[in-house]
Amino acid sequence: MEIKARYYDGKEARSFSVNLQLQDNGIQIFNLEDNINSFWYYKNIQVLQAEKYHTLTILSNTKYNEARILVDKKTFNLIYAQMVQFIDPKIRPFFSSKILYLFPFLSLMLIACLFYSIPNFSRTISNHLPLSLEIAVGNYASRVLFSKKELDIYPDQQKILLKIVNQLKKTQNIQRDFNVYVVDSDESPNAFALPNGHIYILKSLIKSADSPEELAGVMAHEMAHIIQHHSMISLIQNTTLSLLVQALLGIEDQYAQLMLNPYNQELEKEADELAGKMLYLANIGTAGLQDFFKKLSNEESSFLSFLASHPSSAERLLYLQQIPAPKKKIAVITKTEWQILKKGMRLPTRE
Amino acid sequence: MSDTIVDTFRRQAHIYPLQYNGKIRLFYKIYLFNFIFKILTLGIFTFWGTTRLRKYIISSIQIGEDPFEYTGRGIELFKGFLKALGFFLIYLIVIVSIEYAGLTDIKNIVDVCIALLTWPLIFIAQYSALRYQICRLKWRGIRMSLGSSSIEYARLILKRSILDILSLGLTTPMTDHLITLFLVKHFYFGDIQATFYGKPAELKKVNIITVLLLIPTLGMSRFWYGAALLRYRTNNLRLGNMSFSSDFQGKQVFIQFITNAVLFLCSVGLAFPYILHRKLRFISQHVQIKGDLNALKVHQREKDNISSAEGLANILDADLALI
Repeated sequence: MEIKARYYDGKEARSFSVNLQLQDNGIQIFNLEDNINSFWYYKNIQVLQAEKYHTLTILSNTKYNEARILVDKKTFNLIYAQMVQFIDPKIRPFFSSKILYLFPFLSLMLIACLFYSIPNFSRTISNHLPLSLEIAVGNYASRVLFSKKELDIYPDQQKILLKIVNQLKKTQNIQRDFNVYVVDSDESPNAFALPNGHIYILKSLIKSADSPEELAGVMAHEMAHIIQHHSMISLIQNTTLSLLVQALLGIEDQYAQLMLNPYNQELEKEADELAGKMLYLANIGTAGLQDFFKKLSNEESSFLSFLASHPSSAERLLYLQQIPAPKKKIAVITKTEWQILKKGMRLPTRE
Repeated sequence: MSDTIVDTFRRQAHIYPLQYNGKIRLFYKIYLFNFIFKILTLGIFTFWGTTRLRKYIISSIQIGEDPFEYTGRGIELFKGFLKALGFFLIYLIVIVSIEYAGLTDIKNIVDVCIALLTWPLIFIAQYSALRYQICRLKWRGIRMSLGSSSIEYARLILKRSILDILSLGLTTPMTDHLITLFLVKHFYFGDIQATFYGKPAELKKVNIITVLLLIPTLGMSRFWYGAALLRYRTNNLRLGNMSFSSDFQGKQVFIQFITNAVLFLCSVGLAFPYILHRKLRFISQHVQIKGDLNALKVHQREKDNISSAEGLANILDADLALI
C-alpha cells in the first residue's frame, strides 16, 4: 500500500513529499524525483509527536536520529496497525505514562523519609556537637535578646532561683553550669532556656506562682531542655524542615511552622519526663508543676491542639500525676527566701 | 478573499506567516497536569513539566507546513539545576562559616563582593539558558545553535547598562544594536550563519522622543520604542535566502502588555497559560518569513554539546529564555 507523507532527511533543510510503502517489517520511503530511497524498520520507529496534540504525527528513527516522517492521523493509524506487532510503540511527546504513576508514590515515600529521618538525624547530630558550639550559639542568642543591664535588675531573686537549680542539678550527673535570670516583664507568664545553660524566667511567672515547688517545676523543665540539647535539635530540625517545606511547597514561613509544631511537642514531652524525674530525685515532687499546668489548662483551648507548639496542659498533667510523690519531701527554699522572691516582684516593671 | 486564496498568493510570492496553532484547552491541560505533579513530587517534576510545555508550544509554531521541534529533556534541566545548586551551597557555607566565626567585618566585604558578582552572573545565566533552548530547536530536522561564551554576553550587557545609565538612555539604540549583532552573529541554522543589516540610526528618533516623553507618560512611551526595536530586529535579519518582517506597533504592544498584566493580577496567576497563548498568537500575527523555502541550501551542522545550562538561570530567577 502506498501513502503520501512529508519527509525530512536530517541532512538538509528541505521538506520532501514522499511515498510510503508499508511492508511486513518496515516502511519503504521513496521519492524518485529527489533520489530518496530509505527503509525504516518498525522496531526502530519512535513517535515523537502524537496527533492528539497536533494535526500531524511525527515519526523518528533510532538509527537515523535527525530524519523525520510527518503523517496525518489516517496514515498514522495504518502505520500503527503494522508497528504494534513488533513493538509497543511509546507515544513520547511528553512523558512515559508508567513513570508518571511512579512519581506520586516516590514523592510520598520521599516526604515520609524526610519527615521521619530529619528529626532523628537532628538528634544524632546535636548529641555529637561540641558543648562549646552550643554555648556559643546560646551566648549569641543572649546578646541579641538582652543587654547586661536588663538582666541585673533582680540579683537577689536570681541567687535564690539559682539555689533551686543547683539542688536539681545534683540529681543528674551534669558538669555544666547553669545561670538564672529574671526578665523584668509583665507579659504572659513564661520561662525559656538557651543552650548556654541560661534560664530566663519572666517576672510575671514568679508573680503568679503560688509556691516555691511551682517555680522548681518550671526550672526543672527548662533545665531538662538544656540537658537534652533540645535547642540545638530544634534549630537543626526546624531550619531543615522549614526550608524544605517552603522551598518545595512554596508556603509561607508561619504555615510551614505550623507543620513543624508536632515535632516540637515531642521535645516538650521529653522535657516533662526528665523534669518529673529530677523533681522526684530531689525530693521536691511534681505537685508544684502539676498546679502550674492546672492553671495553664484553664486558659487553653483544645481546638487544633495537635498543631500547637506544646502538648496540651491536660495531657502533661496526666503524665505528671503518674509520678509518685517522694517519700521524704523537702522544702525547696526557706520561707524568708520565698518572701524575698515575691517582694521583689512587687516592684513596678521598668519601661 | 478567502484565507485559502490569500495563502496561495502568499506562497506563490514566497511569503509565509509565522503560524501558531496552539489550543488553549490543551495548554491548560498540560499546565494543570504540571502544576499538580509539581506539588506531588515536591517540585522535582518542574523540570520535566517545563520540557513538556515547551515541546507543546514549540511544536505548535510552524513556518509553511513545517512545525518547529524542541529536543530538550527534563533530565538535562535537572542536572543543570543540581550543578548550580552546588555553587549556591558553597556560597551558603562560606557565609555561615564567616558568621559562626564572628568575623563580621569580613562578612560585610564578602557580602558586597557577592552582590557585585551576582549582577554579571545573572546575565551569564540568561545567555546560558537562551543558548540551551536554541540549541534544542529544530526546523525541518535541522538544528539551530547559538555559539559564543556567556561571559562575552555578560560583559556586553554590563557595558551597555553603564553606558545607558550615564547617557540617560541616549545610547540605547547603539547598545541594542550591538546586543542584536552579538546574538545574530552567533546564531546558526544548520550551517548558515544569520546576518543583520540594521543601522542604529533607524532607532535614534523614536528613542529620543520616547525618552523625552518618559516622565509625562509615566514610562509608557517606551512601549513604542520596544515595538520599533522588534521591527528593527526582525526586518533586518537574514538567514540564507530567508528574510523576516514584522509590523509591531507601539499601541498594540502596549495594549497587549496591559491586558496581560490585568489578566494576570485579576486571576491571581491562574490565567498564565492564557496569557502565554495570547502572547504567542500576537507574535505570530505580526511576523512573516520571506523567501523560497524550497530553495533553502542549509545543511546539518556537527552536534553542539550544550547540555544542562539552565540551572543557574533557575537559581537566580533570570529569564531571557524563549519560553
